[in-house]
This record gives sequence, C-alpha cells and structure tokens, in this order.
Amino acid sequence: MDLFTAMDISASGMRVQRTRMNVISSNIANAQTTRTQEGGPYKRKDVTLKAKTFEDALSGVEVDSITSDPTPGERIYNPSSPDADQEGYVTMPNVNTMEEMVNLLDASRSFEANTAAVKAQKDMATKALSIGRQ
Amino acid sequence: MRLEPLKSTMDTSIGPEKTKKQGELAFVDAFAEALKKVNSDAQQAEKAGLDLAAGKNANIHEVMLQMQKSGIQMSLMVSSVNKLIEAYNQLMQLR
Amino acid sequence: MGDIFGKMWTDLKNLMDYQVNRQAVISSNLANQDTPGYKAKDISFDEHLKSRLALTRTNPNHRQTRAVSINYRTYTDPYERIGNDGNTVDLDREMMKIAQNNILYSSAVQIIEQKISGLQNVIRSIR
Repeated sequence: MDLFTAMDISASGMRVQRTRMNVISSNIANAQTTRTQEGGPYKRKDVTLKAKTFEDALSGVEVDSITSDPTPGERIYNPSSPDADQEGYVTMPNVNTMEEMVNLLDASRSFEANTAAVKAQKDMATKALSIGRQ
Repeated sequence: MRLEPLKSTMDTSIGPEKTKKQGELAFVDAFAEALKKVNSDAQQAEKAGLDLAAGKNANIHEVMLQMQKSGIQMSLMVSSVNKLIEAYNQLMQLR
Repeated sequence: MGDIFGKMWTDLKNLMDYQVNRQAVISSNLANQDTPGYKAKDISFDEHLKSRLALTRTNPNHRQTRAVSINYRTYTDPYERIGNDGNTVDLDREMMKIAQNNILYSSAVQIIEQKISGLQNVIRSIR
C-alpha cells in the first residue's frame, strides 16, 4: 500500500469532475439551441458515475455513461421562429440554467476536494523522504 | 614433521585448553553472524532504495526507515570493530 | 547483538503504514463523493493490525505488497433523505480526516527521527 495508489484514486476523481464540468458547460452553452444536427432542440446531458474498485476498501471513480435527458423542454409560443411547429410553438432545450450552475459549483467543489487530497498525499511523501536527513 | 601426530594431539586434548578454544570460537561465530546480518540488511536496504527510485516499491517511509536502520547498524558495527581492535592492541602491549 | 531499535521502531512503522492506508481510503471517499449508492469507508488501527497479523501468519516471509486485505468499516447514512442517491460521503468530515491524518503522520516521522538521532549520538560516543 502506498501513496501512489491514493494519488491514482484522487486523479480519477479529478478526471471525472472535469468531465462533469465539461458536460455541464455544454448544457449551459446550448440552453437556447432549438435546432441540432439530429433535428429538434438540444437535450441536456447527464454524467453517471460508478466506483472502480482497486482493492477492498479502495475505489477510484469513473464515468459510467453520459446520457441524454429525455424530459421534454418547455414549449414557447413563437410562430415567427423557423423552428416553430404547426401550432407556432417552439420546443426549447430542457436546460434549466440555474440548476446547471448549481451542478457546476458542486462539480467544482468536488474537484477541489480531490486536489486537496493530492496535496495531503504529496505532503506525506515529502515528510517521509526527509526521515533521517540531517 | 608429519601433520597426523599433531592432529591426534589436538583431538585427544581435554580440559582448559579445549574449553578456551570453544569460548573463542563461540565469540568469533557470534560476531561473524552479526556481521552477516548487518551485511544482508544493508543489501536489502540498498535494493529497497533502488526500487523506490525506480517506482517499484513506493512505500516511502518503510524504505527510508530500512535505510536509516541499516546505516545505524553499520555505524555500530564499525565502532564495535574499532573498539575490539583497540582492546586487542592494548592487550598485545601488555604482554 | 540484540535489537537496539526496540518495539517502538516497529510500532511507529506499523502506525505509518496504517496512516498511508487510511489516506488512500479517505481519498477513495473523496473521489466517490458523487457516486450514487457509494458508502463512505474508514479503517481503524486495530483492524489494520489484525489484518497484517493474519497476513504474516499465512506467510511469515511476506513483505509489503499491494494485495493486503484491509478490514474496513462502512458508514451508514444517518441522514437518509428522500431523494438521496444513497451516497454517504460527508465532504467536511473527510477533509477534516485528511488534515488530521497528515498531521499524525508528520508526528510519527518526527518521533522516529528523534529516535534515530538519539541512536546516532550513542554510537558516536562509543568511538
């Protein structure tokens, strides 16, 4: 058992949070995108996580999947829009910007926590290396 | 002069001569054992140190402690040998 | 030649092994703070000693490897909220443990350094 394993674990945490932040940023950026390449409005994406077991009590984390949220978005009456349907309604992306911002803060906080863990591991390693040094 | 008679004399000798020899050998043996251990510990410590540098055994405090322990054992051994030699020399001067 | 290092040396080394293991467990908790259904874990020193003892019993020549089975306990969630995804990691608690563990590790190193310089002084005085 060594500190390098702990570093790997924390690194996996950071990687996962960065993916979350990227996906959330994409959601926020596309909050108004009413037409995508596949047709239809942008659907927000979710990142599902799962634990990756190293040993008994130790697990890193990894992305299980990135899924599209199927919840239909709001329908706004805007007959002049090129994306309006026959009734004059435009279906908006199902992105709630406030919610995404909260998620972004959460992911950022989790990221920082993993960074703090790495710093602690580094401190311990440095301290161990100084054993016996005059 | 033939070696055989000399050998037979040694074999059949009993009493203080032989016990003194046994006593000497016991001390020398014990010292040789200790020397072997110090040496093998030193080799293990060196290997552990190299493994750490290569990233193979990253249990840092264990390796550092091994190296320190080995260093101290070595110092102690050297000091002990010096003292023994000093004592021997003094003994020689007395005769 | 008896062991001049004594029990304290081995005890401190065991303690430091435990602290490194614990750091890895806490890091696992932090990495999985957003994983649904993940239960936070921790290890105690007694459990650590027990699992190491069991290991040496099966193979007395066993040296430190990665495949050491760690006895851990899992935190249950006392705050089972509706809609909670089953994750029991408390960020603040884990951060506190990381800081605490780090300090204790540094303390152990200090203590053993004292012991080392003590021995070196003794040896120097023999010369």
